[in-house]
Parts: sequence; structure tokens; C-alpha cells
Amino acid sequence: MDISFDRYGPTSASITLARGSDDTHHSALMPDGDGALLEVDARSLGVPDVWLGQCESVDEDVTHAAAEGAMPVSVTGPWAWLDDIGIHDYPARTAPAGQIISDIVGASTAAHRLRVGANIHRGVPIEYAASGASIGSMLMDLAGITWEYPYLTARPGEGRLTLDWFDPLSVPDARQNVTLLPGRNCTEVKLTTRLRRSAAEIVGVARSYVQGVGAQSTAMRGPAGAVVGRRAALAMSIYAAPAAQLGGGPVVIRQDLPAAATIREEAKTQLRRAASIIPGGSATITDSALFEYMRPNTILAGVFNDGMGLWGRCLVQIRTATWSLGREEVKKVSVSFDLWSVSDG
Amino acid sequence: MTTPVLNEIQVGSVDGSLLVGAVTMTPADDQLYLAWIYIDSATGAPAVSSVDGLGLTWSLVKAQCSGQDEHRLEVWSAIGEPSNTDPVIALLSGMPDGGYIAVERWGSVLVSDPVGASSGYNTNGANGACSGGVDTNDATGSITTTANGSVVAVGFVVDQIFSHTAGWTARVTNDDSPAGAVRASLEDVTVAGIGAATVGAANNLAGADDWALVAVEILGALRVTPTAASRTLARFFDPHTGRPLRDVARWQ
Repeated sequence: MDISFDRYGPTSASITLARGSDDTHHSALMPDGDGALLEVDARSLGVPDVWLGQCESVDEDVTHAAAEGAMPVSVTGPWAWLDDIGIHDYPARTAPAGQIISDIVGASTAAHRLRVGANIHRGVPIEYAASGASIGSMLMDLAGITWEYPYLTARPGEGRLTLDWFDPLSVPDARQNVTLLPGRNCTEVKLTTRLRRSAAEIVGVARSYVQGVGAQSTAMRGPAGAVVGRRAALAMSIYAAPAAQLGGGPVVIRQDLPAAATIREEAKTQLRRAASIIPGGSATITDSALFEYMRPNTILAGVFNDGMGLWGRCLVQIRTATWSLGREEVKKVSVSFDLWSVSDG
Repeated sequence: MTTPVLNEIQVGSVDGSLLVGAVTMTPADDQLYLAWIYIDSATGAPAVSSVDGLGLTWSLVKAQCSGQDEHRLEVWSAIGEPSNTDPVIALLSGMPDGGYIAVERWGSVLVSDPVGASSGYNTNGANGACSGGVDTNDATGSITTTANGSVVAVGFVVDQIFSHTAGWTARVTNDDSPAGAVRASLEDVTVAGIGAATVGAANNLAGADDWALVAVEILGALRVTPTAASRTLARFFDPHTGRPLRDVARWQ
């Protein structure tokens, strides 16, 4: 059995059932004609989160109609059904994205199987009209607009999930606990150069984006330095501690960039110029003591001996985590990640 | 990381044949099979062409000739789901004077990547060449281990009578062969720390010899300390009500 998580929570799973068993009867796999929910709980083996999704498809070879055999089932994370649940009657209004999603999900009586969590970041108010959208597309729309992000965590034994909404700077920081060292605690380490990334991804990697309360100030910091804009009367003074590790040139105050949107656009342009090459990578984790930190979005430290000598010391942000599970063991843990070089500045 | 456990070891030998074995092993899923093949030949020890058995795919881990090519030790590995009970046999590329095989079955291994570091030594040093060596009575070398709790297994092939390393667990002591025939040693120890570690011991041979040594690190499973409750639970829920339906009884 494999279960995967991406930066928004459970994303996909595959499980092979015994053909002809009670588990594969239609009453178990598709009660009332709809794919059953599948929960996988391997926390006792060190997997940090419960996985929850819905059975999507079955591959079966019936050529020989064998009573015994394997029956692989594909399972999709909660986004499958969240994309199918529409939102009605939410006309345009201005509010923080966290407030909007709390209002919409909290008021919806549809079977979205979500419970709004305690971690709801309330950032910059934005104008948004959700009517006609699905819950899934609404969450992605708001994430794209604000660079904030949702995360879904399965609630054990409940068949539903907690929906939290995070500031991109509030990602779990495990740099003090974990340094990935190939050959020591991970193996099969591969780095991949990607030439173009979305601004949200760049910001998420670097944790270089800071947005002041009420959109009074906005800052981004890239490898070539920082871009800071501010509203006329208020000074920008907020930096996340990890951003300081990114080093780079001096902070640039841009009085000519008055609003968050224009600052964001300027910063994106700067970042794309400066960070046109950002590597991602993948690794297999070999130390079970690290399991608890193998959550998407978590920041780790890394020391890699790459050919270009760029990543001797770097930040690692986990993008995806895939667990290959046996009944009584974790067979394999694979993570993909983004890298950001750090300096001592 | 858990420490690998040796569940089975079987040995076999051959004289005057290209085939070394056959050794019958218990088929078991996700266990590491290591075949240690010891070869002796006064005219140049032949290499192993292939290893077959259990319906598994066997891969070379490490091969090391002796410094005068009178001996050769190769380690091959396989892991997965055995599809049959065929015995393990090594096919040599040439006729040896003698051959010996020890096949180990290790459990609680890192299924995705069970073999960590490996090294080979002879009288010419690390990955020593197959000529120009001068006989010594110290079959020793080094291996740089990568994980606490892993196991280092070390084998060497000689003509001389030998002794095992103090504190290590002896697995094979084939030292009763007639003079000139293959003598085989295999021993292992649990790794106490990551880094370079000496394998073998000074004066472990009764006399100067042309020896070949291979060391292999076996990585343990990722399982957290196993308890009765340490297991994966899979459960179906009703998609409409969210109520639990049943635990999944049989799955892979």
C-alpha cells in the first residue's frame, strides 16, 4: 500500500485487495453506488498523519475469473469530492481569505466532510465572489491570490478532515531537528533543476515573503536582495527569521509601490530574474527518527555534495511525501522537495 | 532503524565444475538474500557470470580478486518476492580448482535499499589489483558504514587456516579443506557508529597468504520499535454518512 501527501494534504493512495474477499464486495467498495472512503492510519509505525480519500477505480483482470488474485484499487484524496461540491449564494465581499473559507465551509450543508480547524490565518482582505465555484476551486483560487495555503488533515475514525488555512511563513520549521545527509539518514538523493516556477512556489520555498497585518506592508526577499514596499506612512519592519538566513543584498525600499498587489508583481519580477534556476529534488528517508518531520511544507536543513557546489548548506522544503506501507513496517519513505541555498549572513 | 536479523544460512561447495551450489533456501518476501561465492584457482580465479535461484533477480554487490589472482570472492544479492523454490546456484566464467558458496537470508532489512556500503581488499589494498600482491597473514580492510544499527558482514577467501575476529559472530568457518583448496570465512557484527570501521584482524591467518576480502553493510528496516499495536490500519467509511463500515482485512 502506498499513501501520498502533497502540500495541501492527502492526495492519492493505492491499495491492493484480495480479489473475491469481503473487502472487494461492492457493498464494501461502493456502498450505495459511491466509492467508499478509505482511511489509512499508520501512526503507530511513525507515519505522522492519517490518510483519507475516496476509492476511485479498480483494475481487475477477469479473463480467467480466478477466485483468488490481486485487485488494485486507486484512491484519490479529498480534492476529488471537494471539486464536485458547489458553493451557492456567496456574492462578492472583501475579507481575509481565511475568513472567507471559514464562512463558506462553516455554512455549507453539503457533504464536504470538512471541519474548519483552529489554524485559520487571517491575512490581507481581498475581494472575492465564490458563487458558482466549487469548494475545491475556491480554496485553490484563494491560495493563488493570497499565496496563503490550505492544509487538510484527516481526523482519525471520523471519515472527515480538518481544514486549516496558513500564512506561507508559518510552515513547520524543523531545521533544528533534521538535517538531511545523504548516506547518513537518506539515500537515492536526486536534484532536479526546474527553470520556471510560479511566484507562490518561489515564495513558499524561500519563506521570503512577509505581509504585514492589514496589508500595510509587504516584503519579499530573494537571492539578489530584498524588495520592500510600504504604504506611505508605515515603515516595513517585519521579517521572518528564516528569511534572514537567505542572505543576499541590501533591502530596497520602494516608496513608489504603494499597494500589496504592485509590490507582489514587482517582487515576482525580481525573483524570477534572480531565481531563474531553483532546484528541486527527491530522496528516500532511511532513518525512522525523522519520520515525524516528513510532512509536506516542513522546512528542514540539508547538506548536499552536488556537482556545482551550490547546496553544501541549504533549506529543504518538503513538497510531497509518499509512504510505502506493509502491515507492520514502513517499507519506504520518499519525499520530494525544493531547495534554497542559505548563507551565513 | 532496526537491526537486521540473520534468519538462515546454507552452504555448498564444488570442485571441478562451473556451477557452485546448489543451495536450497527458504523463500520469504522482502528478505535479503546474500550469496557469498568463494573461488580458488592457481591459474587465475574465474569471475561469477550469474547467480540464479528462488526466481529472484540477483545483482552483484562486490567482487574482489586476491593480489595474485589465486582467489576471488564475490557477493551477490536479491530481494523481493520469491516466485519458486529453485536452489541458489552461481555460474562461473571458468573452471576453478575449488568453489564454495554461503547464502544468507536476512530479515528486518530496509526493503527499498537493503545494502549500504561495501568494500573490497586484498594484499594490494582497497579494491586491489589482481597482480603484484605480496602474501601477508593479515586479512583486513575497512568499510565506511552509513547507519547506526546496521550489520557489517565480512568474508574472506584464503588457503591458510584462519581465525575469526574477536567480538564478531562467526557464520562460516570452512577451514577443513585439504591443503591448497578454498577456505572460506564469513562473520558479522552490528554497527555501533557511523563511519570508517576496521574489518578483519591482524594475524588472522596462520601463515602468509594471497587473500581477498569483501565487506558489506546491511541496512535495517525503517520500522519503529515494533509492538503488538505497531501496524497499519486500513478502514472503509461510508461516503455519505462518514460512518465506519469495516476494517480492510486483507491487503498489500
